[in-house]
Amino acid sequence: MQAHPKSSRAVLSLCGIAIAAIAGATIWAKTAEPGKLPPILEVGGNMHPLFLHLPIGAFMYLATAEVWRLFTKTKSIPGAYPVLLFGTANSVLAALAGLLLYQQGEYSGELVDQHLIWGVVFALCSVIVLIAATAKGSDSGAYRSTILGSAAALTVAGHWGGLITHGDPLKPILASTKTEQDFSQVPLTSYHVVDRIFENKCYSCHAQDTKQKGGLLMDSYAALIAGGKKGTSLVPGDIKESRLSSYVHLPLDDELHMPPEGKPQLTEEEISFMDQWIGSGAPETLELASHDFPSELTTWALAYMGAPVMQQEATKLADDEPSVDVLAPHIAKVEAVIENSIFRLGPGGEALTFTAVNARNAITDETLAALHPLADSLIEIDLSGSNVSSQALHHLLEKSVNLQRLNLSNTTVDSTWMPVATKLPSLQSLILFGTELDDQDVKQLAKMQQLEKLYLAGTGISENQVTALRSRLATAELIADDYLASHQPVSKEKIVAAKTAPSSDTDTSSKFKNLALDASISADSFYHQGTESFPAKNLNDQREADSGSSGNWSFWLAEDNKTGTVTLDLQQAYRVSTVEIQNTRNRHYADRGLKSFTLEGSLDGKNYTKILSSDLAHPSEANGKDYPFHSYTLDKSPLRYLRIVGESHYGASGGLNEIRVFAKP
Amino acid sequence: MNLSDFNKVQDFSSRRTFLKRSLSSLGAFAIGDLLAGSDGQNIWKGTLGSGTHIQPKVKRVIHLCMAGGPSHLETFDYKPELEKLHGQAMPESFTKGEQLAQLQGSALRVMGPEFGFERHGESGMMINNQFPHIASVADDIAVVRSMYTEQINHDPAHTFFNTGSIIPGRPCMGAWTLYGLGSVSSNLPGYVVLTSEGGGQAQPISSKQWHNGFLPSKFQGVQLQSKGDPVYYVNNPNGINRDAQGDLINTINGLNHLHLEESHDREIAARIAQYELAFKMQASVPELTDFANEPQHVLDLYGCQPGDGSFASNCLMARRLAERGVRFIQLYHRGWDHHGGLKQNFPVAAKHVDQGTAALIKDLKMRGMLDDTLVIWGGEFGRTPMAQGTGRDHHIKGFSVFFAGGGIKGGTVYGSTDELGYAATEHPTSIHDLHMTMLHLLGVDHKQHTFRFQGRDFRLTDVHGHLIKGILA
Repeated sequence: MQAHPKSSRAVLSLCGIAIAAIAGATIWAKTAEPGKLPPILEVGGNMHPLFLHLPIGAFMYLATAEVWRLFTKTKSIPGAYPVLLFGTANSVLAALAGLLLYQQGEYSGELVDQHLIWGVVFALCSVIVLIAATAKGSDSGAYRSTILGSAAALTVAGHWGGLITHGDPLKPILASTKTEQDFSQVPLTSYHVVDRIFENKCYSCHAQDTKQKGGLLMDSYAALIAGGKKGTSLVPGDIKESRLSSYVHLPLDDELHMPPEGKPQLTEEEISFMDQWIGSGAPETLELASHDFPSELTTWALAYMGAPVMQQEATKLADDEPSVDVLAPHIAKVEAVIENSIFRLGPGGEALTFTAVNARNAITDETLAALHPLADSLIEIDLSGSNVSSQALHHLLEKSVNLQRLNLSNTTVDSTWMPVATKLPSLQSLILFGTELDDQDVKQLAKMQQLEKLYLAGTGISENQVTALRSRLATAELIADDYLASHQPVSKEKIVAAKTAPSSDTDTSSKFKNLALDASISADSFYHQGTESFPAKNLNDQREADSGSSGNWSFWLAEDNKTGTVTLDLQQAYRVSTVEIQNTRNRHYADRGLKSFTLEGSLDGKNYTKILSSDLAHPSEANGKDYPFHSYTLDKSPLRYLRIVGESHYGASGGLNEIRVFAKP
Repeated sequence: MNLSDFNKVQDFSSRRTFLKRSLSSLGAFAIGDLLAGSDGQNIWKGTLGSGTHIQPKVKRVIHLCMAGGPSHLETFDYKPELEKLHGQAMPESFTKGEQLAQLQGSALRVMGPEFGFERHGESGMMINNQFPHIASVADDIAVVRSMYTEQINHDPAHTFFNTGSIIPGRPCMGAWTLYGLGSVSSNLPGYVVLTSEGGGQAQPISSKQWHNGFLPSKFQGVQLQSKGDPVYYVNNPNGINRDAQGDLINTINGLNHLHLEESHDREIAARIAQYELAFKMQASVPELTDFANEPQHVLDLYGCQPGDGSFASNCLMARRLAERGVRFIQLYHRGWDHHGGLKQNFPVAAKHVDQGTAALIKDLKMRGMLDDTLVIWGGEFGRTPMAQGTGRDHHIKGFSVFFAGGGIKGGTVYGSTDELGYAATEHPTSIHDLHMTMLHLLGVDHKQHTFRFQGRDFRLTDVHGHLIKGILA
């Protein structure tokens, strides 16, 4: 169809302007500093999603019409020109709006760049098509070739644009071919579940290669903490302050509600799980099973992560049909010989314990051989009091690679199994009570560095060897015959003579090393006047209770009217478990001492974190009797520096008698 | 019998097995057949046979119940304020409007601790001088000073402690444990009770405290005698040997099986199971009580003659039961109800239990068995800071219980009462919390471990129960 000559001139001029505008806008958008535009232009940019859909419809229609014309040999397409006009006008507007949006700087990355290029290409193509149709008519070869070409450009531009907004549509297929994280090897943590929720509902806008709305990435733990333009999205332990949670709980029509209206929303369980996770401190590596979540939520989480169906079903009562599992037939075989010998632990029943208690005199080699198919699921073997042979034990242990506890009390096995046991990496507890071991076997036992508990009472091992073994197995608790000797009851005479202990309100310890003794202690001020001085070094001089003499007292005092701050450098990092503080009252004057303080810890001496705050009672008697040590328990995170920041003091200034620091295991 | 009960007869295997059995049951066949069944169904298995809810830390529980209510103020709760105010009127702020037992209407005076406390162990916890042996294992126990309960008299308090409800009729914690985890031993009952007395008037305890309630009857506690033979008539009568006895049991049980098929009465199934167990106990109990293989130094550790009826002898028996796969062992020592004569009688009671308790813990520890046993020591309630004549009255708002064993952090003191030892102020811990923690350590989720009865899903902890995290390792 030929356009009306007058309007075709107008159209052609507009096309020319459009090309110039697009070219100019592209250059400007690419070179200008991204930043705040005047609101009207910002709004114009936001109109991009509105405009871009219109040319898609129009051009796709026109391209399809041309294909149809090709096959049906129709002479002309009625109404093609107005549609083209409509499509081109909107594609130009879309391009301009898109460039404005781009200039705002919120979008970046390869996807955006490609979309920009092809979007501009398409817009220019659309103008060329219009020129062709206007000049040559909408039945011309020029028009028909350019319409198809521009539809192609449109497809490419649209694909990139779609990837930005909606992510890869082929993701479900691609995702299933991607190797799923194998949670039978790696323990399932609560963060894995939360991350899966984010992957399903948030990654489309908040992951790598997306528009990263709000500058927020959510595809790693660090990214959650780092947050986006508005700040952190995750405050562990605080649901209200964590935007991850608060935005989800906003009303759906709230501007800030996440995910945005129209996108798939979080389900009730997903929200509940995320809140529980945040509320319990948002741990990154804590296993799901270790949380105290409601059991329905844990069951849901397992199903959500695609845990094997059996894991969920095992939580139902055994009234229901037991689900088929690989271990059951082997377990049945063993239990047909020895009753109640296999017990299944954990929700999947996949960890097994074996006990010979019901057939102690009938443990044949065949019996133990029946255990071999189950051996790698065995975490505990109790052969105590049985007639198990060394050979059978040896063979079984070779296969029991996940064994944690082995009980051989009162058996008569020799030590041929020991080298095998040494190789069992998870072996924590070994009970050899009442077995016939000798000093020769000690060498073998010393190699079992993985042990946490070793029971050797009632064996033939001498005291010296036990001591030697204790030092060789540094991380194990060794209970031998000397246990009784070291746990004798208090004698009768002492009971009769004993009076009530002093009213110290702490449980003090004498056995652990006081780390404060080797520490260097300093204070921000100390009182000194004439020959009297009360420096901070008095805090670890092992003198207590305001003792000492003129010029050489046992306690530290801050300067007049100062509360004081004391810093201890333990010289290296320790897992501090306990801090004990003894207050001062400045002897009979009772006019100084710390009233309340905050305890802080640090690894580098520069950044301190608060551990606790507490009040301190003022010692009430000046006769050395009433100076309790107040004990504070810490969480054993490594510290090198401790700082006691005085908050308030009694009387004229703050002060303390003695500080002790312990790192009890 | 409605359909759901019919479906629940898990004791009873398939029809095929029954037919096989019943045809030959009137003859003689090996008793092992009855137990294993051709499809391996084991009647002593619990509902969690295919897996526990969580990884357990312990596999057995030994509850040392100080029946009568030992005074926490003379065991584990040192109160210097109480000492200071001794003899003075009890401050009204504590007792105004509070429930009292026998002290109602009396003038209330403060009574300071009768005996001194000392620090013990590396943790330095304060333990009363009346317990020198328990004090020597201070590093293995975790004391909860802030327990509280709901019933101020013995029987309802025992009911509450054992079943989690003040209304009798619910299953006790031992039955719940067995119902979930099943028995380990196939020759001894899964739940055994032993009692002893001494040191005070022996307030009654009753077998409903170890009853199974609405759970299958086979899970009830079985009381063995502490003095002399644990089981009466365990030996066969003259002229009957074991084979003949076996024939008799088989025949009776065969008839019972027929009856069971007709009526599907669970009590019959329980009876069959008990008869079989009794037959096995005829062999296992003599072995259990054969103390000849117990070395003298072990007997010296407990300080008893085995089978003399003392608490220490019961402790020794408890260890032997534990070794032989008994899951739940309850020792009641009756003699702590010191309404009067505290100064004279309390030491007697303490002496009865002190050495045995410590010996049990040490013995288990040396054998490596403490790691998978949960030991609970305590009474059904505590006693008042106020004097009742020369003693103390019942007290429910704060008392002490200690735990030891697998999953428990030794040398710990958790929670505390106010300065007069009246009410639990820091970390108040209820009996439901104790139950929940116990089940948790056994690998059982207290919320999932339920039984449908009278239309609702009952559980040991009813609708309560929190983990006592402070005592867990």
